[in-house]
Amino acid sequence: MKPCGRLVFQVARRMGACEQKISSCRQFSSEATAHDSIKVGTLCEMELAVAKQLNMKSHLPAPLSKQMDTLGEIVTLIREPIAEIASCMRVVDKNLPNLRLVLWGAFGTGKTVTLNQAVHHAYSNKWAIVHLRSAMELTRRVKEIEMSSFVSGRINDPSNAVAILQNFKQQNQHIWKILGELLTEKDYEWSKSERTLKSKPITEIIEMGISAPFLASDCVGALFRELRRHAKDDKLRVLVAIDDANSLWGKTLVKRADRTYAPPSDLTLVVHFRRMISNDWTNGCVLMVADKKEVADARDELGVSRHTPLELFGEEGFEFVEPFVPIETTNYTESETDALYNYYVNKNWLASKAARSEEGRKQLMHLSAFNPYYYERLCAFN
Amino acid sequence: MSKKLANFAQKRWISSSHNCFNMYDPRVFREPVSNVQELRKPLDVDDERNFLFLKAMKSDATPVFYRDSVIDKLIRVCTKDGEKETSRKNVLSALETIKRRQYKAWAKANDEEKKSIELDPFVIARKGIKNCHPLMKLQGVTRGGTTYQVPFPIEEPEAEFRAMKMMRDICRVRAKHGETHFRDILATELLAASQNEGSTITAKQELHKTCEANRAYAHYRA
Repeated sequence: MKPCGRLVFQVARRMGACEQKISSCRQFSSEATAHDSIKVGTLCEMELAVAKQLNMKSHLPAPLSKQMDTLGEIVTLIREPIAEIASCMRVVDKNLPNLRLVLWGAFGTGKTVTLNQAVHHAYSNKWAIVHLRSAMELTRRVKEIEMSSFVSGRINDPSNAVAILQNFKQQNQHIWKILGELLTEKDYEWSKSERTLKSKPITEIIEMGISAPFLASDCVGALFRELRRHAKDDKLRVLVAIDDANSLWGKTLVKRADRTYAPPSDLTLVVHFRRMISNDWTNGCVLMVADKKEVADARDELGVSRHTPLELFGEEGFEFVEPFVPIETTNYTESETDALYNYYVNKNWLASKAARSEEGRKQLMHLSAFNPYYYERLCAFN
Repeated sequence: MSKKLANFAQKRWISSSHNCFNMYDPRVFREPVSNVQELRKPLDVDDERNFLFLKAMKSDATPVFYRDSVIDKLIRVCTKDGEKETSRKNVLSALETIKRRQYKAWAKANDEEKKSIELDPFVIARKGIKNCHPLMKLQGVTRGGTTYQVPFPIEEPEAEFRAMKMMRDICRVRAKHGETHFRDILATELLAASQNEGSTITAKQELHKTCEANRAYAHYRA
């Protein structure tokens, strides 16, 4: 598969001649449907109804979703990484294996925001969206466990599985009709009494999983399987967006009966998501975020962990996701901070006089060290 | 408990800003200039600082544009166990909350009302603290084996400190056992105090009442 991946990479590079015009005009999401209207350096507003459907409130980082609540709108800056992702998504084709992109970068440089922008981009191009808020939830925040009846030794996670299905249902309302027309490949026998017959709409699988949590984990697998199959047949395109994807190869807090920690490969949902990442299917794009919250110890004040994909995914994970297109998120440039600064001033968000002065503009830039997260934090109380 | 103590002691020990004794001989050390505007101007010819040493700048005197003496003092007053960074985070996020609440009200209001809504959280916090300044303080004075609570007049800086301390104690009680977050209750208190409402204002009025009731002890002032 590797030479093939390299080919994809080169194609993506060639297509990636994105327009690099810095201007401060606002562009509305309805215009963003055409691929070439992604202009680096512009502010993009997402309609609130769309944001609600895509569940941005829980998917965006906390400060931004608070900002969405306060300002009553959601405006993000179009930066280089999202333009690169958009140009990669343009080359996705039913003859090429799925394109794997890994977003990586230092803390607060906009990995999650870029991921959400990509989800929005997929939405406006009518792709199917499989969006996971954080892979860490599957490994570390498992509330209840059940042993799988499908494969012995596997551990099901009903609550997370239901959440995944519900989220899938909510985020894909724009293509729900199309999904309703896609039919299942075979008979699925969930339990003795529940079954989904062949040639039924795949939305029935989702409804089944939501109504019966003890089947939900298997339903997730079946749904992913059907999605991959239909993507191969060019019925739809699929964007798989996984935040903190390196946690799929991290450590877990799920205990087995003998009180040892289960490896992530024993968790049903993790296995399903790994299958989604593997490139044995076509016509899709897998966008992963390599985040250091998996390996970094919050209490360790002295150690600084690396944030590069190899260190974060580990040998095993890296072998699995290779080949991929790495996309680095970086700190702001001066023109990018200016675009945001002007936006804040226009919205009257910068309340104090000192912040609105020229001195304040410069200090905000340098105090935050051009880091997007800290820039927003500093603007929040001034 | 002992771990916390050790932690605290260690922090004091490695802290570079805290000095156990005055290392600056007042004969050869003068205060540093931390105002950027002043720093750009040349020193006066007969200024002592031309030939004397300068003290190191305090860590909370960095010339950032949002430097505010009242907020800095509030941060110092709210500090617990020497964790000034935590306290700073609390106070600044209280300011953020104030701003968010005011901004929401501002966005809803019509054009005339908009003029009357203050958005700057620093102004609101300053006004809130100012409204909480008590006029007197009560201090125990022992006469003939009995301790009397005697009202004393206070200066401006002490009134400011007592206002902050009153507010901090009220917020701490409310935030006990994780009922609310300190930052949230502080934001609520500051916002209420700026409109002359809230429990800190009530506490101030209570204090004034007790002072009034104890005015007969005023002659015990030494």
